[in-house]
Amino acid sequence: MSVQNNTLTLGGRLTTALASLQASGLPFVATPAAVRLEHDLVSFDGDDARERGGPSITHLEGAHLSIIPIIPALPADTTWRVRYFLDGVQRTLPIGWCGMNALALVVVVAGVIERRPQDGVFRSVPGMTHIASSIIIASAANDTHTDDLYDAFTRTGLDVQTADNPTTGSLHDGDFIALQSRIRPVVSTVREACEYEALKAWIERTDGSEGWLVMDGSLSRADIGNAMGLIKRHSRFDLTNTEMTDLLHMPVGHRSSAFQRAVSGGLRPITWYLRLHEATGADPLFGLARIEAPSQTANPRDYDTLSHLIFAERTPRATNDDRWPTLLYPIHIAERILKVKLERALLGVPAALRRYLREVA
Amino acid sequence: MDAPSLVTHFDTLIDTFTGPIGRVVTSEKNPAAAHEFSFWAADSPAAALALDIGHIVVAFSEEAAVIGILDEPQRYGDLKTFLDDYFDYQGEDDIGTALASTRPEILVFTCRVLASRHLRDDVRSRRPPRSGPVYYATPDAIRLALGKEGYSGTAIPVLLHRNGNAARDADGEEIFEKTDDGMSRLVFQHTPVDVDSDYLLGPEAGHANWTGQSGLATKTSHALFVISSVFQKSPHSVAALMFNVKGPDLLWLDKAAYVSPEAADALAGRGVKMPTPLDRLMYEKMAMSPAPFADLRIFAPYKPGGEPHNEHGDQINLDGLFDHAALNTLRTARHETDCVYPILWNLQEVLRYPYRVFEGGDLDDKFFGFLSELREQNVQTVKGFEAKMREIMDYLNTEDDETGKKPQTWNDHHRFTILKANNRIRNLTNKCGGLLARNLVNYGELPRCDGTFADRELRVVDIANCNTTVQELLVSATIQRIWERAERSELGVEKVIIFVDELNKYAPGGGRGGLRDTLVDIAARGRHLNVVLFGAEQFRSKVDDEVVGNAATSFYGRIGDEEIISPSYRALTESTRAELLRVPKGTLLMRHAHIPVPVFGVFPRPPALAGSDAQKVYGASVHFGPEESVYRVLRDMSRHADVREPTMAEVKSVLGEHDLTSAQCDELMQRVRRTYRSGSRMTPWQYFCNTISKNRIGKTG
Repeated sequence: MSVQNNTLTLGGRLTTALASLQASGLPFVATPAAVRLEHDLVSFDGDDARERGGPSITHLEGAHLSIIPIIPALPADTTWRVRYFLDGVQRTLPIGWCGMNALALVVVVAGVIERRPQDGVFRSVPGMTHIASSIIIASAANDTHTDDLYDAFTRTGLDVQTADNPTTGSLHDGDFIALQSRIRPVVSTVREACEYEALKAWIERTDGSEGWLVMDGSLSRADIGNAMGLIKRHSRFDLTNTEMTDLLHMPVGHRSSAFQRAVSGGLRPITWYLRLHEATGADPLFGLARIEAPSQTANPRDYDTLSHLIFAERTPRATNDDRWPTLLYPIHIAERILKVKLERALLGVPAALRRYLREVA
Repeated sequence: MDAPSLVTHFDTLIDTFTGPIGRVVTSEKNPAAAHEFSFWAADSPAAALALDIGHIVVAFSEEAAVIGILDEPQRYGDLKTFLDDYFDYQGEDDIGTALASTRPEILVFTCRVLASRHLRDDVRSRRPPRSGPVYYATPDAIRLALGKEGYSGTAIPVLLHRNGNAARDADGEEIFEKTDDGMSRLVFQHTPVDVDSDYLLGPEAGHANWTGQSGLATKTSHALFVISSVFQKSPHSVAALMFNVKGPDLLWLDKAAYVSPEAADALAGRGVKMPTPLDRLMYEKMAMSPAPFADLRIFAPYKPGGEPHNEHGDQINLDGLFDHAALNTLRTARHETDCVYPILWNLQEVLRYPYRVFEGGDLDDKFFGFLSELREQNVQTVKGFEAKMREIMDYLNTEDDETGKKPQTWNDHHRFTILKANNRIRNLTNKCGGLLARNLVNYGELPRCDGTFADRELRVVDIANCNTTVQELLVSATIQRIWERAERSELGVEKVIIFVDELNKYAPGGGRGGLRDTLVDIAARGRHLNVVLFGAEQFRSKVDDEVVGNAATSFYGRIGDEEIISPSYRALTESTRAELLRVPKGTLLMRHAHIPVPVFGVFPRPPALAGSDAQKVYGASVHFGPEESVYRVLRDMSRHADVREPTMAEVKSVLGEHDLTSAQCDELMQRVRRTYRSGSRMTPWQYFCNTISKNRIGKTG
């Protein structure tokens, strides 16, 4: 029986799916009061946690990492300006469990905002916001309810993802915590895909001449024209001890020399570090951001220009956010805009779970 | 019903041409309520940028359109503290330089609900608006919001509300106007702000009050405008009484300010401030004619020492015999005095107001007893009083034949009391100089300042040049006598408006006295007796509570900061009070019985020339010959009656037959003006010829 109805909201689809579960007699237990997984599964990872590639890097400005002051003014002949910003926000709600199946709903909103050149006002660019939602089912092997759960949600038109990747950790019998942990990589995948959809829309709609785009996080590819990635939090450094010491000493208004990490089948984007705020007396990583630029920006002049553009974004500061030393203000604004859309997308979901809980009781 | 459907259903109330200008916002801290809600203003269209305090907008609840007036605007940014902004610029060489990003700021208006219109006529909705689009209100919506549907009487336009959206023609096209420098600019939507005549003139409620700083609040100008509006719109016969207290302010209200372009140029050339095209537009929007007051009558006492007297008789006859130049008024130019009449009292009238003319310390029972004796002895005049005093003094100075002593009392009044009264009453000729005659006064057919009114008559009592005693005496006596006349239903018209400026002085809070009691009485009972009090003051907080409290309509102009903090203004919101501190001339805030929230509005220049301007033009001592004077008067009367006017040659011919002196000409024209009845079968010219022949004035008489 297919009850797919394209006009239904996410909450509506979930209600239909839960009604179907109730009718089928599956021992599904809804958990509307559970804390969202972003809280439980908050990682110590940085924004670069999902980066691929080995520790081998190639320096592009000399044999070793060096510290270079940021140019005080843009080159007179450059027309490069930063105009677009891309970010994504997500909410992962553990919606319940059934036998040895942990179920979560992830909703991701990714979008591009524009800083209008004429007045500096931020606005969502129409057609460049993408919303993705998926039910993630993390199951123990050979659980008897998994297929029924999968079918029930699929029939209502919801996207269902399974979390069967054993690389995220070994699973022994009764390890429910491990089941929940398997959800996280799937969430990352959904988010990456969603952000890529927004980026794709931007690539299709602009030819790059309108200005650069700064993306919150790593660039997924090295060949995206006029798009930069900004990594705010770091979980890996592929430098030598000496280079790392130099980097930690890097003063504000300076950048590191650029380097590139090799991956199988190609190269990652060109990257370098940039100190946005004075770190004296603070953590040595304070105000330290990493920039990723597409591989066609292959000369120091470009790195200087892009560093200057990003450094100019250090003010105004996103003072309402603890990540302000490396969080660009426009990214902060993008996040606020997208969070409102996320809340709207989630309308009706908690109510559907509570209703199910009441009716089952 | 969803928002698009509501927009369609209530499309007559919202400016769909302009489109949405913001969105209603609700939050836990600032929920939308039945009487107040908030919305953020959009950055576009351009009309949204014009949004400001006092504009009227429409939002929607589930099943109703909610009409509100903008109150407090607040601009929100995302800074936690001002320091954050300082830190943003720390290290910058030039704080004038814009940063890479501009922090988003939104403008949120608090909106006070004026009215709601439900989908059903029989439901009165008080539900707060929901989050959704906000539109400018159309004139229909503004009329609804201002309670016009609930009027039981006639709508009297008193102000013009200006919204931020464009005025549009019948095809929906925006209207533009030319500015003085030849540029074109958008005309904003103007909607008349009316008051219900039943609530302004009675019987449901009544009275109006103006508050504001002298010279800045334009109280008198607006009162004149409202009186003009009442005269034009009221279906009742109505008249008004005003007191001219400053220079020539109210002496030229029959002189048009809105004249032909040629005449306007000529007047402007003489330094007269003329109305602007916007002033004319305002009259047009309010469906009013900027016509001056056709039936103006000015009353003034004589200049001190200039009062007439008759040493050989008991009586002074004023009818046709008074000299305009002797009156204590600035309107004395010969050809402009046809509407000016004298005020002259005898002693008996003055003694009716002992509290006004004598010092409080003099007024003891013995003094009152003697005044009562004078009344009983029918002492009416100064001459009579002097004769009586001679008689009394003769008596008191005559020694008794038996005892040889002089009597100490006369009719039980002690000698000292009599001497004191003699001293005080004799001094009245100085104290009330110009008003008090030595003889009895016979007005004949002359109109009196406390007499019956004619329909649409504007009566001005000129006390500007009088001393304080005469001023207070005339104000008190005139109002009290008209009030007594109202109690006898002898007003002559259905409604009389009495405009009293300086209520602080005449009806002070906590004070006592003759006029204060009369004004309180008028405020309380006037609407039933067809007397309406239009009061004005600089300090509302210092006026008797009953007088201001009984006014169903109140106007506020510029208020001083010392005054605005008084409890009299606590009903106004903080932003409204702040706005009143700087409200420009020509703008007033109005509270009216039908309107739940005060509304700001503008008004045009009054229909008559400003007194000082008119005095320059018409008050100058231009001397016309008798022919010219007669011709001008007859010409004006003919134009007023819309009949043929005589030619100068005709006038010269008739006057030539009679060879009149200037004084005889004046006397004749006074008689003609006084006795000619508008609508008569004869034209003024015919009537003049008839009168000059019948009365046999001049050489042939």
